[in-house]
Amino acid sequence: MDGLEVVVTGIKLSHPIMNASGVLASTPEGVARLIDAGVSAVVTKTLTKEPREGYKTPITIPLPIGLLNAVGLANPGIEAVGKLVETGHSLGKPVIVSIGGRDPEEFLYLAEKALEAGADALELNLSCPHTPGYGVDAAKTIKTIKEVVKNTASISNKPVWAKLGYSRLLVKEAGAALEAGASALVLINTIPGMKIDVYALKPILSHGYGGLSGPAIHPIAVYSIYMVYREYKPEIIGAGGAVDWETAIELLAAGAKAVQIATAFHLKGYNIIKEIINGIKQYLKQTKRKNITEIIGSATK
Amino acid sequence: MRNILRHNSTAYSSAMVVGNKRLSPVYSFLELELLQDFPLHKPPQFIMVWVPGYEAVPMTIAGRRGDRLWILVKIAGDTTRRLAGIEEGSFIGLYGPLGKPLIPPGNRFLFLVGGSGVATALNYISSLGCSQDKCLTVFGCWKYSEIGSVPELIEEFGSATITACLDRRCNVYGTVVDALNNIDPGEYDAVIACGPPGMLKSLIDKIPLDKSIFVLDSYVKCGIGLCGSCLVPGTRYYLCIDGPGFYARELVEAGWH
Ligand SMILES: Cc1cc2nc3c(=O)[nH]c(=O)nc-3n(C[C@H](O)[C@H](O)[C@H](O)COP(=O)(O)OP(=O)(O)OC[C@H]3O[C@@H](n4cnc5c(N)ncnc54)[C@H](O)[C@@H]3O)c2cc1C
Ligand SMILES: Cc1cc2nc3c(=O)[nH]c(=O)nc-3n(C[C@H](O)[C@H](O)[C@H](O)COP(=O)(O)O)c2cc1C
Ligand code: FES
Repeated sequence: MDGLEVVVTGIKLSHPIMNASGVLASTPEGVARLIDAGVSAVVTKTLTKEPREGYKTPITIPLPIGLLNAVGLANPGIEAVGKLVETGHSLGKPVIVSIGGRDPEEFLYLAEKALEAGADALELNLSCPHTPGYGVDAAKTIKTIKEVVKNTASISNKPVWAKLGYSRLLVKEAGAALEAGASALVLINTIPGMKIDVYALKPILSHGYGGLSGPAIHPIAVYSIYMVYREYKPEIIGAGGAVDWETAIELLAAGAKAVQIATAFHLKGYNIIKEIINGIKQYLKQTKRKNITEIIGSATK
Repeated sequence: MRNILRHNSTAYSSAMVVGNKRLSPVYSFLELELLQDFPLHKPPQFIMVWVPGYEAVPMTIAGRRGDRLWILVKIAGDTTRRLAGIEEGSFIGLYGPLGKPLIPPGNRFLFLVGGSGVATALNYISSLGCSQDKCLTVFGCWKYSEIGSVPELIEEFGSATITACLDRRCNVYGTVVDALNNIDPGEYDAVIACGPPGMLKSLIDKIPLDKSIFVLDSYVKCGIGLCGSCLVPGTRYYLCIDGPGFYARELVEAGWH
């Protein structure tokens, strides 16, 4: 026992670091690659009712402070879920299936398919900021957030995680999702953003705008998690700018029980999980703590 | 976090097209002036080149000196057609360098290239310190008319050149693979092959796999290891982070097909 185990919504994880939705896990090979990299659970790419091609390139722009992306929810569609879950399970890891519907009925349909396939938890994408009809658009009001969560939670025998992005209404939205039956919250998604080439004088992303991630949004993630944790003490999975042990620990101290990472795979490569885990182990030793769970939410006390 | 900002080795830069030389009906050689700081690269790394109003496409860095960067464009579809005909003074964008450097040891090299693989050979030729007595490039095309002055460019970079095409006007009548009937790859310290998958596969039985590098081509969308588009068939490798260059033995053993 190295003191890194955490239990998130009843799912035992050997350590708190997993990938965030949108990294590789849209194919069985991608799932296997993430497991090779050391994630404690795999979160699939957000799956939609039909396959989506996504936007034309450029879909990403590396920035000195992080990354802008507008992939456009490119994914193989919900029919691919079986193979993804099967691959994760055959390699001994829980698989969290991220689903993205356009309305509460579509979420229900996707949830049924994911549960049939053996998902260990559902992650509801209520927060992708750049795909009209999906994400923030499918969760425009507190009422729709409640409806989507309530519908899926009512048929689910597995935990339902609601993924929200930062907004001025975040604490209210979080409360609504929890009240409707979400077992946990995933905080946060990317923040809307745009980059203009100053010579071409045009937005670079083919979609025009996209979502900002990485170091640039880390303080926003810390703040979001802190505010929601302080209010409700729910189970939270933190995402946003975790790129090393220190940035990961901050998310935990703000109230997250586990941490998801996306942009760090780009910034530091696929060894990043092992690097963060080693860093956390050192930190526990340095601060004479036995267990990572002692840190969770400690900054809010 | 400070480390990240310093160590982020990928950047976006605007660029102005300062030269465009049409080498043949399908090949253009472009000189770009980088307008922002751009990290140095090593072969066979590549960039995503964004043509405003079109898409972003993966392109090998054929060469770089200071704020000048060269790419060799072979027309495939809309974006490469626009790029091949782009006017001097036009602005484009690029990000990179992407992929992993892969430098073979030695000083005698054989390059087997087809299609857009020429750009990769150019970059290796200048980086490996080639001269015409130490390096040989076999350049294959379907038609003689596609070849134009590409061989002269390869020679200028520092490699002797043999052309192969399905036309008697090329040095070899046939494909790059046929050209190997008269060349002993074993005489070279490394063989670097870049071209369409069919060409690379037909080389497997003809070259020493342990000292051969295959530079692959695949559908690249993000170029930074997140979207999953560039999975190398049959393996768990992603071209944009694990490649685009691989030792041939490693690929074959990983189940590449
Ligand atoms: C790492 C890497 C380096 C490259 N370097 C160069 C280079 O230096 N110079 C150069 O001219 N080209 C290079 N290419 C190939 C180039 O990126 C493609 O030809 C280009 O993306 C085609 O874009 P398009 O919009 O013009 O054509 P599209 O309309 O996208 O495609 C035209 C045709 O080409 C096919 N195609 C598209 N992309 C690819 C691809 N990546 N591989 C194989 N077939 C494809 C399509 O199926 C279609 O039939 C490289 C590719 C990779 C992956
Ligand atoms: C390329 C890319 C694709 C993404 N795709 C998804 C997605 O499909 N569904 C989703 O809920 N979040 C998606 N995200 C958001 C991430 O899951 C994560 O919430 C966000 O990037 C913040 O974490 P980071 O700073 O570690 O990247 C994506 C992010 C990136 C960079
Ligand atoms: S192109 Fe996106 S992972 Fe390689």
